[in-house]
Amino acid sequence: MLLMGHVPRGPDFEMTLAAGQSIAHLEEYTYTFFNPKHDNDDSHIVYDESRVPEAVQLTVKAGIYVTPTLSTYATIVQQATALDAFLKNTDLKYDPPWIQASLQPAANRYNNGFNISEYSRIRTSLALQRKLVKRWRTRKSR
Amino acid sequence: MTITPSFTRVLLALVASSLTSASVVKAQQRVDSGSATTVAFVHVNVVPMNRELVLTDQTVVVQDGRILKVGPAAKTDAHVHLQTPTEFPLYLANGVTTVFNLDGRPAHLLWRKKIAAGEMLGPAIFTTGPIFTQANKPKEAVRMVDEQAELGYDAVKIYNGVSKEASTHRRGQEKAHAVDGPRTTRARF
Repeated sequence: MLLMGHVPRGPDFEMTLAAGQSIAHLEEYTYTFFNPKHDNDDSHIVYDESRVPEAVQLTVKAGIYVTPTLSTYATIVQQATALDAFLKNTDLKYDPPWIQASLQPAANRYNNGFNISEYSRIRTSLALQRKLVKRWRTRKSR
Repeated sequence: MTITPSFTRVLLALVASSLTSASVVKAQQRVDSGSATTVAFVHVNVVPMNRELVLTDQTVVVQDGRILKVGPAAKTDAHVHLQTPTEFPLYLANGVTTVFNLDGRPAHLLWRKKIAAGEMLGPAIFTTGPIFTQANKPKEAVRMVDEQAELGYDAVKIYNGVSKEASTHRRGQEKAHAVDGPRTTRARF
C-alpha cells in the first residue's frame, strides 16, 4: 500500500523521506526543506536555488514518488494575483457548479487568502518549483 | 482517432531513426490469445502514407500481420480529486484513461468497481482512503490503515498535521511489528 501525501510539518522533510512516504505537491518542499525554522510561517521560507540539487538528490536516494502538480500551483498564483484573467478560461464551464462558485471573487480562497505583499513570494515559489522539476529532468537524461 | 478500413490499409512506417534495435524490442508488447498473435508497438512515431505528417508517440496494434488500431498513448493523471462521475467523460475525451485520486471515500470504490466492470464510463481509478488529517495514537493509526487496506483502497494519504511525536511513536510501532511485513508497511508513518 503506497504511502502518499503532504509533508507533515512535525516530522518534517527528512523524516518523511525516511518513512518512505511519497510526496504530493512540490510546494511541500518549500514549506519544509526550504524553511530552516521548520514552522508554519511562510515568511521564514528561504527560496535558495543553490539547495535544489540537494533536495533532488535526497529525494532520489529515498526512492519515493513525487507528483509535482506544477500546473495546480501556477493556477493558484494566477487566482491570487490575476483572478479576472483566470476566470476567462472557458474550460472552467466543465467544473461542477459548486466548484465554479468557489472560484468566484467572493469565495475564492486564493484570491482572498493572499495579499499583494505576498505576490512576489508565491511567484518566487513557483519559479523554484520549476527549477526542481528541471533538475529532475536533467538527472533522468544522464 | 477513428480507425477506418482504408486507414488500416495504408502503408505505415514506424520511424526507427530515433529507436535503437533494443528500444524497438522494448517498445513491442506481444499478446498471444488462441491462434491470434497481437503485437502493440508503443511510444512510436508513425508516418501515414495518406497524409503529410508524422504522428508522434502512438500505439500501433497489429494482429496477425494486420494493423488493427492506431492511436495516441493513453495518459495518467497522477493527482486528482474526483468530485462526481460527470467529470469522467472529460478525462476520457482528453486521453486520460487512468487517474490517481488523492482523497478517497466509499463512492470512489464503487465507481472504480463499476468502471472496471464496464457498467460505468470513466478512467481506471486508483485511490487513497480518506485523508489522515491529524496525529493518531499508534494503535489507532494501525487500525485505521488496516481498515482502509481491507476496504480496498490503494494508498494511504496523510496531511500536514501529523506531529513529530506521533511519528516517533509510529516508528516504534513499526519496529514492534518488524516481522509483520505488510502490516508494517501500511503503518509506517
